[in-house]
Amino acid sequence: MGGITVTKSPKIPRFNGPGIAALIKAAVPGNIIRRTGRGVDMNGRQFAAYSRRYLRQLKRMGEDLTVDLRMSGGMINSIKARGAEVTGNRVVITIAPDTGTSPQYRAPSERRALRQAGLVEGRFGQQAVYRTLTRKEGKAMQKSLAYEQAGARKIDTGRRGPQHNILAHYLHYGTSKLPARPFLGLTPEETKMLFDEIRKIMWR
Amino acid sequence: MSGADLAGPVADGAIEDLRAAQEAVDRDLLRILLKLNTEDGEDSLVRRQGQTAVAVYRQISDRLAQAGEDAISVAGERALAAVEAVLGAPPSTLSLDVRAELDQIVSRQAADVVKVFAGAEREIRAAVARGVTSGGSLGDIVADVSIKMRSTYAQAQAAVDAAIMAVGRRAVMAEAAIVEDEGIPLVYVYVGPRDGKNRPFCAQWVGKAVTDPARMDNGQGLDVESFCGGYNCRHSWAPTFIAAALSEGYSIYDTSTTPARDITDDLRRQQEG
Repeated sequence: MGGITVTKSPKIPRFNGPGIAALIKAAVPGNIIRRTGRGVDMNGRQFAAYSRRYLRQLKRMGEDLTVDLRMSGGMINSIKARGAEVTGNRVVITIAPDTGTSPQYRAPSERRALRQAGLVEGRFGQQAVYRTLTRKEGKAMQKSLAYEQAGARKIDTGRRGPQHNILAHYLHYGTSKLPARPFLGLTPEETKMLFDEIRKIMWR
Repeated sequence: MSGADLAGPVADGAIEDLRAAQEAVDRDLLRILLKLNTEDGEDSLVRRQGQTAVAVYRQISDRLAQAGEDAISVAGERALAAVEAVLGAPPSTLSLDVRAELDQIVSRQAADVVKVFAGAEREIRAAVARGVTSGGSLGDIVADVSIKMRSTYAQAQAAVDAAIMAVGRRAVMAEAAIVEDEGIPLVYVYVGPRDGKNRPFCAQWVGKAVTDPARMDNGQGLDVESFCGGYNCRHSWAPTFIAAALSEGYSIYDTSTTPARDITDDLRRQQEG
């Protein structure tokens, strides 16, 4: 009996490592930036509130008072994929802030002008310090006071802040004076959504 | 470490160099001025010391001209290093187009730093020349020069910082573009503070998602993907899956049309279907 023999070689799906790596590199920094901007940590909880002192400073700088770990935006903006290891069945992506720095800012402060003129108030337990200024000192103080009173704004100190990755470490884990605000990670919902998307492109 | 990652430390190095150059100029100016030894209340140099004052003004002017040249050379060398850092070791996934864009960002900012110093040098020389001809007070001239040096330094620093921020944003957007090319649509949420300091562009878009930031115009002549609302902008773009943007309640706008169209409901229906 005659006939045709058809041989079909099955297409074995391959692990799409590069595609998954690209997906993680694109989506995870965006997730962290977006959620941190809403003031929510990686456990889905609101960040610990800023201290009253820091809130006063933010107000004097005319800044948004949301706890979003952002001043110049340098640290948050630098969060990106800093390393990728893709093998036949494994993808490891390191996402972190970079090692650059951002300018350091301060709030305008009348007290600073007084201190510069040597009129320190209540610093070592005194109620007030009385001191006669020379005409030159008086002029300098008037100028510096006018500068400090010129409205709510950020003043560039001319110094640089710590490296973004070190700053992020302190913010994430906290210190003895700073509450932990864990932000470098994904919430369970975000992880699930990421895995849903990965599943769509996992094999090719 | 990726090329975009290296740009930050290189730019920081440039800032350190500029700071050292500024401190050296301040020290030298003080040294020149101390030679005069004027007494209190008699600081009008031309009135008191005639030709000596003119000679000192000339020394100041020469030192400032040299400072301008030094700053330009420092900025030039560092700009080259920053470009090499970005292009010499680019992330392997970045396309040639993106590398060219990163190159453009860094070159543009480096050119700005050079311009800032060249402009400041001209202005400082003019201030010194005015002092010589009008016989003004030494204190006023020193204060003018010092203010100009401070603001020059601040402007140069702002230009370098803008480059760091722009390169960081561009790196994230480039990765997102690769995913979109793979057929996974993303939207871009505009994240950042809402306060009285927002530019009109930022006030309009903060808290919203768009389909294509590249088609937007911030009115500053700067690329929206890299610079957001402009120089020193505190905002960021967050690439986001459509499902996530919808579930978190963001309004999504199609920016390929003018004006941008709200397509949130259309996308929601598509997702439900």
